[in-house]
Amino acid sequence: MARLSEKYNDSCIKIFSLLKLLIEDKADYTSVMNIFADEADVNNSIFPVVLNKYLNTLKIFGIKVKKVKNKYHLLNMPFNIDLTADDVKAVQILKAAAEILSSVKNKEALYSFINSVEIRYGEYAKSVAASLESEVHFDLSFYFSKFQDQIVECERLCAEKKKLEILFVSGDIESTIICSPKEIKYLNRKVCFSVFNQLSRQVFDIPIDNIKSIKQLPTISSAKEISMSVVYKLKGRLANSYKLKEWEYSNGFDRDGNLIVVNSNEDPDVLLSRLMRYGENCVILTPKFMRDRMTENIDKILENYKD
Amino acid sequence: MKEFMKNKTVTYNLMSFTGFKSLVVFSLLLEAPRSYDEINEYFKNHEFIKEPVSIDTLRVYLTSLRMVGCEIIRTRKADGGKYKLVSHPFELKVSDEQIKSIVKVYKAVSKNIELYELIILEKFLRKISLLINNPDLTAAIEKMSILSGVNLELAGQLIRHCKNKDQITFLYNSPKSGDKEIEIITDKVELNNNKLYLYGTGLDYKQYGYFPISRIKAVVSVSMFKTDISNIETLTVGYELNINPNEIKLTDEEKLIDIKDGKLLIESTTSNPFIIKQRVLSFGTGCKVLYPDSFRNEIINTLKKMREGYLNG
Repeated sequence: MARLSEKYNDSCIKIFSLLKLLIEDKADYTSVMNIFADEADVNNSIFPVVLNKYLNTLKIFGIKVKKVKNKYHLLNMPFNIDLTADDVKAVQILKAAAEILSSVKNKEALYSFINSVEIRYGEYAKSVAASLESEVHFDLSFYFSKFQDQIVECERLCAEKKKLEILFVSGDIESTIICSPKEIKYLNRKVCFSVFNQLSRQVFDIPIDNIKSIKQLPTISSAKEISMSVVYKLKGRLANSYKLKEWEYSNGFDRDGNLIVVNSNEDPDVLLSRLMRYGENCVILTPKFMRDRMTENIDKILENYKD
Repeated sequence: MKEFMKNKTVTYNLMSFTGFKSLVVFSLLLEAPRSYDEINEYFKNHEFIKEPVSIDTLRVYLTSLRMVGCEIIRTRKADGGKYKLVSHPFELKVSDEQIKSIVKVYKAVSKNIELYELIILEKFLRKISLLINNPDLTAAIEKMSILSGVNLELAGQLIRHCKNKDQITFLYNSPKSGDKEIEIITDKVELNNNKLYLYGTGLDYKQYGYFPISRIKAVVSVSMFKTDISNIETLTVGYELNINPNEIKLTDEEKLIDIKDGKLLIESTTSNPFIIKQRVLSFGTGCKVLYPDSFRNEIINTLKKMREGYLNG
């Protein structure tokens, strides 16, 4: 005979098994049927009665279930998450933002996450969501949708990982680059195709609207692409207050108290413009060609003032 | 069912009463650890259950809950000997695919939504990450966040002060002199170079400036009266910029005066020349300061010093 503490209740197991199926969105008729197989056969006229008994139990507890075609769907959860009005707004932002994702797989994954949060809304969250429904708009959605086709194409190229030959415009000059695709970067009102150039071992963020054509080459990009590092030193107060970027690390301070920073994967033009801001408090140490580019820039600007 | 809705009396063929009671036990434990007496009291007062449950029956419910994947422990006698739900299979979970999508969408929108929207999005994600205790999500948020290290409550408070242009005193962890109090008339909170800054006119130096919010510890006080800053000395700098007009977003201090021969003539007015200096330098070769001569010379001197830095080392 089982010890009392080991005894369980069959109805309890069934109601929670049903709930589990519903939460996982796997409550198709056959799976639901399997839970109650010992009480009634699906062909038996008693089956709907048995099923209704458990669905009623959920309903009385406050759980709403809807049957669509041959599947049961959960409309709310009995176990809510305590969400503020701001939290609900954050969910609305995610929802609106999901629209700009070009990958169907990403979109579906995000929607399923949003849905799993939404079914845990309490009454307050629901009323906030209803009032916000038409309020969250992205002024960027139009902008990004303008490039939707190009973004989808670049995402496909990223997934296929083949080398590319890209013709693009920079300033008034047309340039060609042989590279490996990396990712799509969404900057401030700008979408860039981030690529890696094996020759210079640098990452370039090419604005999507500057790309004239992309030719896919037959070779697959190598799995390990070690990008070139730019090492620079920061002096004075900046050395103490500088916050390293996600793609940087520091080798500590040199004997003069300068901070040595190692930077990888930042577009060279973006990096140079950023380092220019630091004025005389920043010096590029390596590689030589980046040092040279910086000094050339400084000389060119000084030329501007010779009038 | 209609009968139930009418008289609120439970009949056993209408629903699984045991299943219902187990749902009640589960939801009670979800709220907080409960003792047998507390559960019993709730049962007695419940509008449908209306009767107590024996300790043996409660144990049967708990065993059943364990069988469907709940982890329930009993706290020590000193802590009230309560039943505590440690984990359960109905918790919100986030898959690896969902984390990837969250990161992707965060990166896509973070630089394109209003700052207050970014803060509420970040707060929500941090809350969810705490709630579900998923180290992968926590690490992903930490890595992608441009507000990492920022106290979001404080950032929200500072945004509110900026809306009112309040005069506030805050405690600041200066890299040079450690903790000190700074009084400013707030202007705006803005992301610059992936870092969140508070902008405003400092009353010590009578100059417009900015402070990384990650270094602000707290708002110490809000002044009832604002200091008149209309007589603070400002500098107006004119510069030409050889750039596609669509590629530049003017700052609050800048004004487009003219476009001539494809070059933009911009005027910038501030009480802090350092801000314009950084801006002008970041434009690189496409920018030339036109006036005043003092500022033009300062830029030339800075460029010469930069050049010397490369000659020496």
